[in-house]
Amino acid sequence: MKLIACDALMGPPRMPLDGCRPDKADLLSEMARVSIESAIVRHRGALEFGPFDANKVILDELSDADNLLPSWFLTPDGFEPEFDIAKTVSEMIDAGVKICWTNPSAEAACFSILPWCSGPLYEALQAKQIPLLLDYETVTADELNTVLTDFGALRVILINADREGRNRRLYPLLKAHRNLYLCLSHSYSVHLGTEDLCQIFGIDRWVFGMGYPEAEVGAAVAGLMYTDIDDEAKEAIAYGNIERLLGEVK
Amino acid sequence: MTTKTNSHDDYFSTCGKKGRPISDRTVIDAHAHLGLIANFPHTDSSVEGFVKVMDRIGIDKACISCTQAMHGLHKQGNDMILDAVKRYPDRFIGYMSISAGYPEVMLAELERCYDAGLRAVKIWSYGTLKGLAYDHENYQIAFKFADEHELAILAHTWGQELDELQQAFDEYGNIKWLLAHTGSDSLEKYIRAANEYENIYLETCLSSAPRGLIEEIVSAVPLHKILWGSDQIFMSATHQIGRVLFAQITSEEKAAVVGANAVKFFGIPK
Repeated sequence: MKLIACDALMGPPRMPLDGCRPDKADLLSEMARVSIESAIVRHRGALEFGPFDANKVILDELSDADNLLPSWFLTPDGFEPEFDIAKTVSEMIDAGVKICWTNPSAEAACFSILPWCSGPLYEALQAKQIPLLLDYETVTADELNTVLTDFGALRVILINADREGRNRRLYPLLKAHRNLYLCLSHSYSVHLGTEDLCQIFGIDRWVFGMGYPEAEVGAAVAGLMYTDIDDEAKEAIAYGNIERLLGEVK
Repeated sequence: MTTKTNSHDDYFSTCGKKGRPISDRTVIDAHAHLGLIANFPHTDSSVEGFVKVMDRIGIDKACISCTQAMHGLHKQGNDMILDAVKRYPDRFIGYMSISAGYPEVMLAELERCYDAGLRAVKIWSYGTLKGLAYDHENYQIAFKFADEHELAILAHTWGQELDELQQAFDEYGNIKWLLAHTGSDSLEKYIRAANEYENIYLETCLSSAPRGLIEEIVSAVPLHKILWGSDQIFMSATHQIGRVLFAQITSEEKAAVVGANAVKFFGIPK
């Protein structure tokens, strides 16, 4: 079955990871090992030296790899010299990038995820139907509820959602906000969890994640393949839903 | 990290890629649960749901303990295990569990469970919750009982607990120790313990599924000392089995880790 992973993070961290160097060659090798066809790739440099250079680096490094799709890191202020987020988003689309990510934490880009600060970013993204990857650890349920209430057409994909069982915060968010999506990787290791999500919310809001580079990517593959859902649902999670989202970018 | 072989095409990785049950090899889940925890709601806590997952993966037997039994409701929790074992005698092996804060009833509960047929003990030192460290005197009741009856003990550990258990390792040579969550922290402690003590074994479940960890454990300790566990129903066994199915180790090593070692450890009849 075709697999598109939505959560790959390449680029060297400040201190080396134990046992691997998360570069393009390593990523492709890991994908080949477990038969993942394609991946959306973020560059860790955005968290280290900022998005301005990291977005250039990711375009450059992935330019010769058709199966690696770059994701830009965006902040609500846009980039120099204009500091106009709408212009930055246009540049991103012109560069062929159809998905973005951000991290508002103080250790990363250091801004508020709430609309008073990030509203211009959400306006620009929802106008173009560009999916936004958000790390579960960097946003609270209350913050997410506020953002998605104010920007109902914004498409948010939560990545690295933790195993907290039948999550008493996440489920109401999914019920309230139909443009909230969930990336299912090794981290969402919930007993009969994917089956439950599909039964309650349908099959259209889940995408596949591989946990690269820190995780054994086979955990996510087996996690999906052993899920007790029909082939249509499995294919939607494996690749169909993310292909649809990327195809709807204006 | 060692890379002995690429697992592209072996039986185990093929099962994982296709979602096929591992029907040609024995699969034993050495660390699994029934029961509830307040801040961890389940989608399906039933025994039937558990068995369905076992069937999808091809898990022959799961070794289960009950969380309630470690949270003060020892009798009710252990009864849940006894009931599951009674209903599915070919699928479950039961651990008897203790509530470390209640030493006055511990021995009687252990004897009750032993008389009912359970032959292994689960202990938990509460992790980040308020509880008792393994070097507290209350655990001595369970350790002495397990030592006298030559039982296995599955111990929840997260690195530092190995220090708390050090004296018990030295004192109780008849216990077969199975240390849960190997590599959660201080991997070197686990490796040292498994290499230094003939009666210490390692169990693998870890929600973060660290890359290369299975390979590192396999390269560092005798193969027969490594047992696969899932921690279901607090994790999904589907992810945990994937860590071994796709690990860069040989097929023979995978077969040992997913089940053959547990057959010997628990003395499961063939």
